Amino acid sequence: MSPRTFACIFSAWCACLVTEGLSQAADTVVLEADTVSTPRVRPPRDTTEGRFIPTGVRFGADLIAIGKSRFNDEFTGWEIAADIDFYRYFLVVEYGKWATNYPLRNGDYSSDGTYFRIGVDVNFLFRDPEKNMFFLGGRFGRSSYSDEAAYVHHTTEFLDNNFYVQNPDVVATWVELTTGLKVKIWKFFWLGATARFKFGLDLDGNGLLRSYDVPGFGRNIGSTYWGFNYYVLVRIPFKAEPK
Amino acid sequence: MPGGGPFAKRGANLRKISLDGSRWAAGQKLYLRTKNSELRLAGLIFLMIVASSCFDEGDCLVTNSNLIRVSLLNFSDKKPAKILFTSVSIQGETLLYPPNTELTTLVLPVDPGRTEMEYVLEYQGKSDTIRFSYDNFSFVLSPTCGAFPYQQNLVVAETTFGEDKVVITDKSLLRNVAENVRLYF
Repeated sequence: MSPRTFACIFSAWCACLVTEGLSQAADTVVLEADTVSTPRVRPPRDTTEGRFIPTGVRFGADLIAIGKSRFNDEFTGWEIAADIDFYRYFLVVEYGKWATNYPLRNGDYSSDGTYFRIGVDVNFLFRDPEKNMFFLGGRFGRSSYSDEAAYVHHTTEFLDNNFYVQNPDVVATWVELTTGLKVKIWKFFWLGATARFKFGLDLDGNGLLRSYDVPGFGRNIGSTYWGFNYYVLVRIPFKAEPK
Repeated sequence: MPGGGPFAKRGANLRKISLDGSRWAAGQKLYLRTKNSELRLAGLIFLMIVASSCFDEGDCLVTNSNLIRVSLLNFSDKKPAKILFTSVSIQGETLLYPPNTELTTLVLPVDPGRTEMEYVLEYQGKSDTIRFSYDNFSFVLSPTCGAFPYQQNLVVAETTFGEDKVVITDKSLLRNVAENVRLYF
């Protein structure tokens, strides 16, 4: 099975997991509504006292990055993430390391760097007692990396040319729109899936080599790119929560 | 289970669905709000994004060309000119065209291993040179397509034609560029 086929199957599998989660998240909300035997008493809406006080922090790691590092010879990396709640808004920080080494038809390309993303997610299931999340959000991403390519180019008019080009110090910035789920699995353990639509890539330090792979962003083959993360998380509440 | 009163009315806006799984009590009915169609729409958009992952490789659309395309024009009326060249050659190297060839356009190859190329044009008993300089940018199209040098920022470094006789019209050497230079006689 080629890596590309594996990637497609894996993506579809992850999509099934997430859509299953979407359904369950929606069902959970409705179940709560139907099992109430008396008309619901809404909480008073004339106060925001205490609403924006964080109730816990989550830390996690990206399983896809770990899996790709293990099974894909072209990628080595990891990503960790943390978020903290302010009512229905979550401040999210993600940090990772990303290195690639692609064998080309006529040479090799490699990149190596670190990146971070910071942003806010808005939870649309904020009344869920389990604190499950379906969210939309945004991120600002920044990456510092180096990359290089060594290849042979053939022309009919001249002798073959051997090229070695590198960008020793590149800074990339971009913006993301995100959506996904974070679902409580057991006690402190959570699973989360985040899909990313990335755009607005700006490269500072690209010289005679146009970067093909930007750590944290992905392939620089167009004006936009997509991304997907599947996190396992641990939530640490700031105080004991009612069961 | 929805009973009377407000729940009976609310049930009209609900659609019954079935769920498998041991966590749900047997016989318990579950309902999904039709207003949650936003969730389903979000799921659909998400699936489309994920599905696009299968097409991120793209095709091997190689657009680079190491050829400078020169149009020959009359200086007086700016119309295309047909010039009989005794020889067209790279300085100190091979002839690019057979001797005594009549041409309306020239195609001058550049060496991606260099950043400057000089050409000697002999015509009508005269001999003129043009030296072009350019930058080689490397692009990786994909692992299967490979990497390619693209020549950009083409400029006339030196010429005996006269500065107003050589005009750069496109600084990038690409396959879909019909003309890079206008050369007036």
